[in-house]
Amino acid sequence: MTKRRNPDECLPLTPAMFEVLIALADGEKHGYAVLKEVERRTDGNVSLSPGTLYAIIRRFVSDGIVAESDERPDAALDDERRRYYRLTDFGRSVAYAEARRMETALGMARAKSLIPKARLT
Amino acid sequence: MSERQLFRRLLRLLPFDFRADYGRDMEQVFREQHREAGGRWARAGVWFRAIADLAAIGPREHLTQLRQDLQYALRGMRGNPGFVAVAVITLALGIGTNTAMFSVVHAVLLRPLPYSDPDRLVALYNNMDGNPGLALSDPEYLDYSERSRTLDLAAVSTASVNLTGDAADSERVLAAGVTTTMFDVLGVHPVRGRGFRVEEGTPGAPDVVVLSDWLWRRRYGADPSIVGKTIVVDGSRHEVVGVMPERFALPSEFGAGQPVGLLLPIAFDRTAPRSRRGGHYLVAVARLHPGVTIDAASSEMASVLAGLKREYPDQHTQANWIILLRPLRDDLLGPSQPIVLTLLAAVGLVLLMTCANVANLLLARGEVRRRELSVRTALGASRFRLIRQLLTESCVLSFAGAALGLLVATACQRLVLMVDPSTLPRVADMQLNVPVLAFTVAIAAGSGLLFGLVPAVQISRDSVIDAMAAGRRGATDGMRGRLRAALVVAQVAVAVALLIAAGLVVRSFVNLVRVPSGLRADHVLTMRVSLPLARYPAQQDVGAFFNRLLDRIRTLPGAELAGAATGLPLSIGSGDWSFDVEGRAIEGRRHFGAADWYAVTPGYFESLGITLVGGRFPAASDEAAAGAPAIFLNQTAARSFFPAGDAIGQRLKVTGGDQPWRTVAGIVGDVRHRGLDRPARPEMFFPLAQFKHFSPTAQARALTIVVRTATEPMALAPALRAALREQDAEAPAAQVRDMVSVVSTSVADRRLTTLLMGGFGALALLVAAIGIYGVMAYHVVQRTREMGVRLALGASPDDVLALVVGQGMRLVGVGLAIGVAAAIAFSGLLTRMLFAVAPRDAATLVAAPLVLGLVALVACLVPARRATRVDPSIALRIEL
Repeated sequence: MTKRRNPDECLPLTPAMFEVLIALADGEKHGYAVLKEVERRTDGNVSLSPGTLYAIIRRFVSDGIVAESDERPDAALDDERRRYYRLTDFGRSVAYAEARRMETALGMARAKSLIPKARLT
Repeated sequence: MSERQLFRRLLRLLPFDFRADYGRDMEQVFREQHREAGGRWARAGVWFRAIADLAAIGPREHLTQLRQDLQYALRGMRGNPGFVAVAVITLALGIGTNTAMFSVVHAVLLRPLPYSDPDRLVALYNNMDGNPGLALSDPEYLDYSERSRTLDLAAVSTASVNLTGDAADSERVLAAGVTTTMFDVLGVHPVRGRGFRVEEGTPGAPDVVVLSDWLWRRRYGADPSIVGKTIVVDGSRHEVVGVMPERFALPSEFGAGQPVGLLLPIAFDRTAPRSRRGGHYLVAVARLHPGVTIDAASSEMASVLAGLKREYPDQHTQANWIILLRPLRDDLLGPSQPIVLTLLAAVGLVLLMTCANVANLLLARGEVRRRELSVRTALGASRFRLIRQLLTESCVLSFAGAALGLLVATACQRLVLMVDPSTLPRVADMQLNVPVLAFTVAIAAGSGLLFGLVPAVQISRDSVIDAMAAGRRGATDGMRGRLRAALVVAQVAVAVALLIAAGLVVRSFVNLVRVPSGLRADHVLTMRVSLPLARYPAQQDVGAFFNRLLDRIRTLPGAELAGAATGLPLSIGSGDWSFDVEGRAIEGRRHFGAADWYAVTPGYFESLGITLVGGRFPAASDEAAAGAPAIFLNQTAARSFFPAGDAIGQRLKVTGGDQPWRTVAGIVGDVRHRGLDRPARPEMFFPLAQFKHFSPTAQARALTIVVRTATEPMALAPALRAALREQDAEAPAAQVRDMVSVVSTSVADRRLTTLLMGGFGALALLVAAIGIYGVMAYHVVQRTREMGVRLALGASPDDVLALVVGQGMRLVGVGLAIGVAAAIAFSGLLTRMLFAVAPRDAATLVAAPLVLGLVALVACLVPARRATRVDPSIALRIEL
């Protein structure tokens, strides 16, 4: 456990996985909140079902990318039964590594003029 | 069903731990999605997406988990090659021998008979007091088949014939005379040409023959235009009208050593009087008409027989004569079934022992892995997850064992085939085919679960306890110790029971081969010669030929004595023939008595080393056809028909035709003609030249030459064949064998079961020894500290030795007691496999536990001696 893990080992992520990481990037959330956030951010283009969502969470938890959070919001806002998840430091570095990977890929596509530059700025 | 329940059902598509960890959350998310969806169609969309999603994710998650478990299992095994090797090799022996044995069961018992709709086929016999399972005579066959409305009857009778007259050497093959109905009754027809026509089953019809596939390939080079050609059978030309399919076998071929090479139609004269109803040689098989049960057919045959009894009262004097119908499958395979199943049960017990062994190894290893598993539990692995992980590991072991076991199975199959399997029907067809491999996979999975489950439950419990709180080890250690002890006890019990069974079977075999056969088999060469009717029409011609041939053989260098007979002990038998004795009353019976009959030449008894009990042996003077008719009896015949000891000089006449009165000239010693395990029957011997067959058109024309040699018998075989060619270039030499191999072949079936039971017993001993050694060795390592303390406190190495050995042997003792008790309780199961040994044979019941006890002692001593060499100062520093 003391060995530092290389985030690149977890790459590449599927689009759904990356969306979940982004959804958790600004703070802990429970499953349904993640789902709604992804839906909202992608204008409903990415719609996760419970099975897919929790298969991703399960894998992230086992890889140490995401952890269950002990902190809870105010009791009034919280449903006792819900579990909250947060990004671990390692998870953050995985998200960063994936973003970098995509950025590199984009750079290459741009260099080969596959993508009009105007749309990227 | 509510929507909630429905969703929960759907969740079952996921692996258990996934469900356990996230099921509730998923349900909650689904509920919220469902609630927010406005309208029926939107809700249906939510449902549809959830179902599609779970159906796609379920299998993927299962696979992922399996892959993880497998990777983890393999990683763990790489670190423990010794453990893995012992477990896999033990399992390979257990699973491999079971696979081989199941391939025997499958080949012999489970495959359907090679006939169409075989469940409608029955074997049909005469059955009466003193003569159960009697074959049919010609008149009986005709009457039974003509009068029955519930079944179609066919019959077969085999005899060897000479094939001559084409490019290939003349040779002797087994032919089956079959009724023309045989093909329809069995529902199997020739693949080339046709079967027999009804008119071909009448006297005077042209000679036709149907070839078996193997003979067509071997002798006629699979000639595609064979149908319509003629071949020479026993000196007369027969037209080939058909070739049977590959793998076809007549019912008479099951369990018979020699395959049938050709089929000839049996011709019946349906107009002949049927008042003489003897000559029972037709083995009948029948097909029940559609919708007719075997009971209905039996009761119909009973009324048919009742009518015949009224018509021919003097021909049905035997008591309790019935016509017996038995399903053909039971008739052909029934005798093999108990033996094959007993062997399968024995080898199954070996597998159970193997499982106990590996379970013990796993328990010991669980001890070593305790820390690792506790850490996993602490990190959140559920107990179920641990059990599944451990079971995956045990299944990996058992499948590795099964893979290696296939090699063991192949080796076992080769071994079985080497031991002449002809006595076990169809065993030569055994293969590692799909059903057998499915069985292997099933027992591998079953074994993996069996030996893995108890240790997995136990170890996972410990790990959970360890993870929660240290310091509760005493209790679980005790339980695990007891579990291991129980496994050792069970293993020893099974092993000793198997060893007793093996001991009984081996002793039976030893008794069997030691039984006095009545002849001296060493230095005897035998050869079967059959003369064709066409060139040797009369009995005198046959007699003259054999006497000429024997005279020539006696001049061969290395030949000491020579003779011939129509039979050969332990190989070629005969039926019985009734006779009357001059001046003796028959008291209500039809005839005075009946005895098995043979025609013999001078020198026959002397060559086989059969003793003379009274009177004289057949002599050259008997071979003069004009000489005073003589007859010779064996001791059993002399004793049972002439209890006063006055057999010599009595005159007797066999029934049928115009037989002369013959004077008993000599009594010879008994020979176990029909098998070493069967007592001698009454036998009578005719001098060949004086022999007159009961059937006026038949002669004794097939004889076995026996030659006593000065040297190794088979060395004389070429000279013997040459001598035959000199006398008749076309007469084929068949079955040229030495007498020792004839005796050996006669016990081949028992040799096979003995070899298998003995092998399983030895395997059980080995597995038990490994098991005991493993447990004791582990025990000593666990108690190194205690041993050190004892030695430091002044115990002598002998005390430590006695302590360890005593503990081990106590378990062994309990196991032995249970095993012996079980062996006594179930001793009846083996009766069929035993000969001249009581199922509760005291010597075996003592010897088997003794042998196992000694092996167990050695298995305890090795680790115990290690315990005495513990260095106290080092042992005390170990923190366990």
